[in-house]
Amino acid sequence: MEWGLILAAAGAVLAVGIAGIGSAIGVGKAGQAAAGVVAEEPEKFGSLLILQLLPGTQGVYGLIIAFLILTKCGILGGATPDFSLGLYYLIASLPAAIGGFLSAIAQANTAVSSIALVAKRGEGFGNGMLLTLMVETYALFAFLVSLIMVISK
Amino acid sequence: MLVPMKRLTLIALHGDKDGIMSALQDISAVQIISSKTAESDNSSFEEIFSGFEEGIRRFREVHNSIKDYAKKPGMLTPKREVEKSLLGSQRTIDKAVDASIKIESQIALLSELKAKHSQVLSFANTLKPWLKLQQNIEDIKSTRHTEVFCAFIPDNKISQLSELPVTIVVVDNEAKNTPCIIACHKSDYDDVVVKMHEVGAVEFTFQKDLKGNVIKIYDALLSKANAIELEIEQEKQEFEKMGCESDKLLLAIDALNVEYERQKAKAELLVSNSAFILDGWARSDEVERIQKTISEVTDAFFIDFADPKDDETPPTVVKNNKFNAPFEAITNMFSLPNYRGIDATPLMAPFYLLFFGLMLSDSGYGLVLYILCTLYLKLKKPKGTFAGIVQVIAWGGLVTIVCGFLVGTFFGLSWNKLFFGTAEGPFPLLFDPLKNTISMMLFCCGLGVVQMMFALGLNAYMQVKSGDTQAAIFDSVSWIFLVLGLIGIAAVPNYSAPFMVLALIGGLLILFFAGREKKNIFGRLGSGAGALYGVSGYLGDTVSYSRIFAMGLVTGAMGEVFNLLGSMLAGAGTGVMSIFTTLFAIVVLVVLHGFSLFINTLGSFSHTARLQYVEFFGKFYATGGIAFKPLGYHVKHVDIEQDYTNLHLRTKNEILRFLIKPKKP
Repeated sequence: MEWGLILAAAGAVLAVGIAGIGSAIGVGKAGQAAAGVVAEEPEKFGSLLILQLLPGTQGVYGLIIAFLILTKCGILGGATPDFSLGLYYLIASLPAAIGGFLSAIAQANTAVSSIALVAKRGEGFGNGMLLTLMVETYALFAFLVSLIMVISK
Repeated sequence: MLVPMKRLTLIALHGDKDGIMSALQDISAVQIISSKTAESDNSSFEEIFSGFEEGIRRFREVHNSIKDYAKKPGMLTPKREVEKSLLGSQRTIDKAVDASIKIESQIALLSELKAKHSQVLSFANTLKPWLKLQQNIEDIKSTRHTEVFCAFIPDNKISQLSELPVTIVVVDNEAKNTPCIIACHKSDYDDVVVKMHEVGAVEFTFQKDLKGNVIKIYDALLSKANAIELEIEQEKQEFEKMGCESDKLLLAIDALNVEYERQKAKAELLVSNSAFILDGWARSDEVERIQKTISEVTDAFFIDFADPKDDETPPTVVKNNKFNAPFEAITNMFSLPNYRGIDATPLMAPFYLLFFGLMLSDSGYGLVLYILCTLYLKLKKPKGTFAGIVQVIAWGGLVTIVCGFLVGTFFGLSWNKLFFGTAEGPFPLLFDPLKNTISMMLFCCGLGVVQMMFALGLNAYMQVKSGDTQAAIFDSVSWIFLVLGLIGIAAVPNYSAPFMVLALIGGLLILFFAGREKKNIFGRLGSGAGALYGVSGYLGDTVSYSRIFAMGLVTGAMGEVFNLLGSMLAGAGTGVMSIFTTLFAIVVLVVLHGFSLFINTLGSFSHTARLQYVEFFGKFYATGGIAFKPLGYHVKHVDIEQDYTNLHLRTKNEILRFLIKPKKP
């Protein structure tokens, strides 16, 4: 098998895998906190679900990058890349993978605190959501760089 | 627009206190300021307060026990509308009390039955080890010389006991603590008891009046328990019938809360033997209405409306037109405007819609969003902040449809393919963000610069208005010059001379005058240079606007990837199978696009809000307003009908007109 293809595939795996692990940890953490609140106040389920979901977007960003790489490297379309192009795809996947991983965990910590905020004061949901989304900015920027790198080749 | 407030002082007679307070609560126009000296005799109110709290707690508890049986309101059912008078009427409370008594007695009955049930069951359990007893219970009795009794003996200790002069009949040899009948001579009884204690055996006595076969007794007990259980089930069904009382209880909770609020307000008043003083805030446009309301209750009163003094902080009230009002929800999520600042809502609204549209940037999503939100508003009729947010998203959906044309996407597909069947065509009207990445990013940052310069201009305007022209020129206009100049130099390098001059003027103004409060020339230049470093902040803010572009890309890329997945699924089958794979692909596509719509709407909503809060408001907006909380009807479980019989609002002529207006057939 071509080395280029293997490297590109590794890039796709990293993007969806590492970012996905981060999101899974994040959503899991936030979900645990939310479940505790729902036990006492089931009517807050809707807003807590949104807070739980916020660290989940990094995994979706990773999925998109992985998918785009797969459509370009001959697995779902495109041509098999040579060694250097494969390496390029691998590097391009790193921002979404690492940025996504770390930001999902950082975001989950904020989400957990925001869930505590909603538990204490239901009308604080808007504030909690915005605080949690501040972290999302950096996942978004990391994703943006990966995306531009992948689609430009 | 900020509504000017007035400080209200009302003096009236004790006898009119209740009437005036009810009338004021009815028009919901006065926020009462607590008079601190009233603390002294609060004790007389404590009893009333705890009475209300007790009542509310009781209704809530009763409601909790039946709420599972109450008819659930549908997702889209609006809250029940009630007349205002219903909240003030004694009958509301009486009805709830009646319902509570009924439900509470039902609860008591149930717990009594449950206690009985568990009592019977535990009795039956004590008999369980003796089920294999052949004799009737009454036959196990001592004679003149022998002691006969029952006991549980640990099964490995039976042999130890057998060494004594006793006869042991094992009733059930499968149990670990073996139930036995023991017989011994009366003279040995004490020794046997001592030995039994040593080996850990426990004596057992049947209930005195128990007679007959154990199995029969046991079965009778079980069937009795079953009968009670049936009864419990039947009584539980009674609860289902009581589910309809839920509305009455909720209404009564609201009614008590309304009443409680008024009583609390009364406790805040300053009182003398014959009169009371009410101190509070009111909107300046409601002065006449308040005067009229009170004069309808009594004519013995004094009222004064004064402008707020400089050291007073009046609560903030904003008034906006129908288009801008929903955006107040977004502003308030950040902070209410300071009473002495400006209401930023109308200034922010157009930017909000534009940025939201550009972030979501898919005509299909915009259309779905508009339809869903509009339907929700029509059917559910939400109130307050949430209604504002839904309305903003609905309009955001409309703008998104237009932005979808600009970038050429419809549910992740290209408009060209849909309209003309070709990849090439007039769309996108602006850029394709996936191809002209840099142009789109610059366009978004450019919009950001426009908004930031607008914010600086507003800041200058406010500084001039408050009389500080120096600050306007040196702290606001100078930055506009500098930032625009620098951008000009970068954007048109061939014609940069005028921009250089502009940037130079701005930079020098900042360098020499930012630290103008300092006398020492070096100190002044030092702080000027420090202020100039703030240019990095503007750079960061400008780059931050690239999130508009990034969010747009996320929507586009997500839609495209999902469509690719869908088409792969649809094409996976051949022949007859292709029908199934196509159907499956459609279902998957609907779910995936639903997810994408949800995630991206959430993202667009909050990232747009962030741009307004940090990059826009940060430059001019004075925060820290206090919410206006007038004495009024604060209800949770019902909505109050628009009340046309509210006499306080109307002059007599208006009432007459209302009365003679022909009713609609």
